[in-house]
Amino acid sequence: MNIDNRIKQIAKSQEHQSLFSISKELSNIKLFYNDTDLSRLQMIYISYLFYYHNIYMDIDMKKVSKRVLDNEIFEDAYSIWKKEGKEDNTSKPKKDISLVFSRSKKRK
Amino acid sequence: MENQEVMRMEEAKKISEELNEKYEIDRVAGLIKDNKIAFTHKEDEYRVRLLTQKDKDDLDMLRRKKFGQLLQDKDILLEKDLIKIYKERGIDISEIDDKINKINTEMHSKQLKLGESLSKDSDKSILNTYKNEIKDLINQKGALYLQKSGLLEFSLEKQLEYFTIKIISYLSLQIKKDEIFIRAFDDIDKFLNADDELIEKTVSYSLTINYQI
Repeated sequence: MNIDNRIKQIAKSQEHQSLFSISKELSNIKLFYNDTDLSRLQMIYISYLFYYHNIYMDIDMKKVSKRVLDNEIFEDAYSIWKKEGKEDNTSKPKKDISLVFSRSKKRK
Repeated sequence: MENQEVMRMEEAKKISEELNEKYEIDRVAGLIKDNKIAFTHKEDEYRVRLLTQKDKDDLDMLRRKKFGQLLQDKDILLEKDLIKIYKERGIDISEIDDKINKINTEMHSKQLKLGESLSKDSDKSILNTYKNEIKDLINQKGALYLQKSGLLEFSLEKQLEYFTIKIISYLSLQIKKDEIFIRAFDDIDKFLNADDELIEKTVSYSLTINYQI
């Protein structure tokens, strides 16, 4: 396993996800010894922390099942689909419905 | 009795593998925190660290110098000239790019379908079909990238990139002398003349920490 995959594995772990959540809440909890000038490793680590944080949030909110974590292809596909706003499109009301709504509001 | 012994050995092997895995994860987690990789080579203690601002200035100067040298060498072609020569000989790099783009589009569309199927908690067989199709496309794309980078390996741009990796490695390598770490080699030529094992280790560790520029 190469180092980038290892970082992905670390960022996916519950331990590091908890550390990430705590560090967002408490400013005295730091992820790294350095505050600025992040290394390549640290940038990869942070981006994966966010990546898995979003997936775990969706699992908690029952937007997707835990199966998404079965493999990287599932994880990537779900994240891309979500990023493209496909999820929002399915829940958004259709244009003509919003027009009817605004007209009825006017009458009021 | 013999069976018990075999099972015991298998269990021991499993525990040992788990310990190694845990050690590796702890090691990488440590690297993420402090950006330093320490190692021993022929009884000397070395470390590779993140480049400082001064190192980055040195990198810029050395890279510019190398670029000037490469530009004067008539045997080294720019990527665009190399592509032109390949085309005259019947190898069209833009065709490889087109194939890669086509695969990217196809892969993206399958990823969206798979993403949607996951959100709908679709049947396992549907998910696995998409997964296998995407896997196949990833492999096809990898092979094309490999083919393209192989063809352009001797371009000026690639030569400069390889040399830049060596400069970064030279600048990030330190040796422990009298309990303090100092730059391991006085200049890049001395680093390039060091033994292959040390160079290989340094390049690998250095690229792990520093950006590949």
